[in-house]
Amino acid sequence: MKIVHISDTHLGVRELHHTDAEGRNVRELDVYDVFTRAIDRVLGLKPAAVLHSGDLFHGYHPSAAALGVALDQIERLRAAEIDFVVIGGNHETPRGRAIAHPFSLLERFGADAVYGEPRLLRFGDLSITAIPHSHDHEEMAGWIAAADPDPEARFNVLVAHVGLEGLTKVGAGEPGAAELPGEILESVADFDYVALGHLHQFDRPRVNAVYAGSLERLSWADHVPRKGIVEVDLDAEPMDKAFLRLHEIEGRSRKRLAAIDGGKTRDLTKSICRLAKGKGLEGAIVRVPIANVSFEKFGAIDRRKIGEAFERCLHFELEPDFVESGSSAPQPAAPAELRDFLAQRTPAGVDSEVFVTRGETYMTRAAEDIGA
Amino acid sequence: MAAPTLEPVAAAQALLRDFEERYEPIEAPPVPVERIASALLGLYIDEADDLRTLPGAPADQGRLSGMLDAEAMVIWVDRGEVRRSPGRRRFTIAHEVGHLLLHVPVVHESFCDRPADVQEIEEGPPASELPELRQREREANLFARELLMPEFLVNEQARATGFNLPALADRFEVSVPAMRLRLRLLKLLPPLA
Repeated sequence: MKIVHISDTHLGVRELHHTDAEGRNVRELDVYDVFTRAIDRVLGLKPAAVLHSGDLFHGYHPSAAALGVALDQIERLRAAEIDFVVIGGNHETPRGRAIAHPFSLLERFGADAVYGEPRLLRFGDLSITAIPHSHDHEEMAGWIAAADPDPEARFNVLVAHVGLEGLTKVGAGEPGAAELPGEILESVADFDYVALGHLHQFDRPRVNAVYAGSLERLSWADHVPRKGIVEVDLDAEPMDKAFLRLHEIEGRSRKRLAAIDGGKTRDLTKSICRLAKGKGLEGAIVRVPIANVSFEKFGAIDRRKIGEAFERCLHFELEPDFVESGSSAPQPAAPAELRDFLAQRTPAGVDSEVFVTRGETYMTRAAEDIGA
Repeated sequence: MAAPTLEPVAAAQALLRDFEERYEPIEAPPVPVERIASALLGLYIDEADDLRTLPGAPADQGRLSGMLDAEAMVIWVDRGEVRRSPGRRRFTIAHEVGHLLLHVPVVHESFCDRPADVQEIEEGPPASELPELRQREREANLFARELLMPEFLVNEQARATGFNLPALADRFEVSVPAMRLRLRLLKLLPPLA
């Protein structure tokens, strides 16, 4: 019996400030596209079931667009008679009980969407113990520790959305995210497969336990070389190569180019523009680190020129590592993180670029006021 | 300068045997590295906020992770690093013990190690192909890895835990990347792990 494990799709996430002709956030569309292509691949693999280990949505108020994509893809699986189970992750689980879980809507459309408390699901020979995220981490640890395989089932799979201490993360800690000791996996050692969600990179922390990882790289910390969905052959021995297969799904390319030493480079604009000739930058999200650079030298970079040089990229930004210059010159431009922060909060009906530029202006003025 | 007379892996195994003969068998992780250093080798272990301020430490080579004063038989470890990760403390101590056993008899000097020298997950060309200073650091790292994660114990625990990486790292008090590398080098990792 084969199943497919998919995770951390974050439908509805908005990142950067690039929009298409209709004003839709390009990265939001990227996430819809990669999820749709993942389901295309699933349909080709014809597994008995698909398990989604949480963070289907980026938030607990998914937009109509995000809900629409989720429901469309679930419907495609149903039409192909492939069972689909999804558990709530920390991103989509509301903190207050007064707020309806977005999965309550999926349930109304017939999806096996598990939230609030664990559920045991049975599809023929396959038993699935589904443990959704709880903001009470002790409660969640208790659910996992108490989980037992169903002796009546031929195959037992557990699905949970939880971090494990010590594993490499690809992003900063998230509010509400649970991180449990690795020993917790010993309590689920008897399950044939443990489908884990939360970590955005593929990992196999135990012979029977796997993080499928996210489909898109959603932060600069995520430089995992391969993204995709995991096909599990439950008939194979876990130590056999046939047990697991990662099917790569290509998302948008995100590249941090080689750093330029601002202290040793005379013409920064020229050096940065030279990097634009590199391969694989078409449509990519690109960052160029500039080390040891003074505020003055960074401010003198010709933004128009480098903007033109990197025109074929979706997004380009500089990552300065400033050295003290002894000058009181203000920082000329807001760091990339601030631009992204502002871009994500652009009020409806306002041009994002205008909003971000205005924010940068205020920051520069504030820097002047305090003599930074 | 003469090449080191001891092979790092063999030296770490010999030290573990010596400890077991004189004290007690090591039947479960973690390996008592501080006890090995202090009781068996007579080393004193201390912490400092900035090792560069200690007598004999170079002030111009950046921050230091660990330092072995072979004459006074003291291992100094950076307090800030230790606070961030107890596993780092253990690795730095094991690394300095490696210098004491592998290199002090040969080069008769103390060792000041930057963070880049004390690397739990160092890989690359064989130590013999590196410049002499890097070669010594690589050997000390190999020694530390063998001392903290002895093959027999890793093998037994890995099979007992279903190759549970975070649990193994926790039991051996090392980082997950260090344990992953150890399992990989011992060819114990399941495919795709």
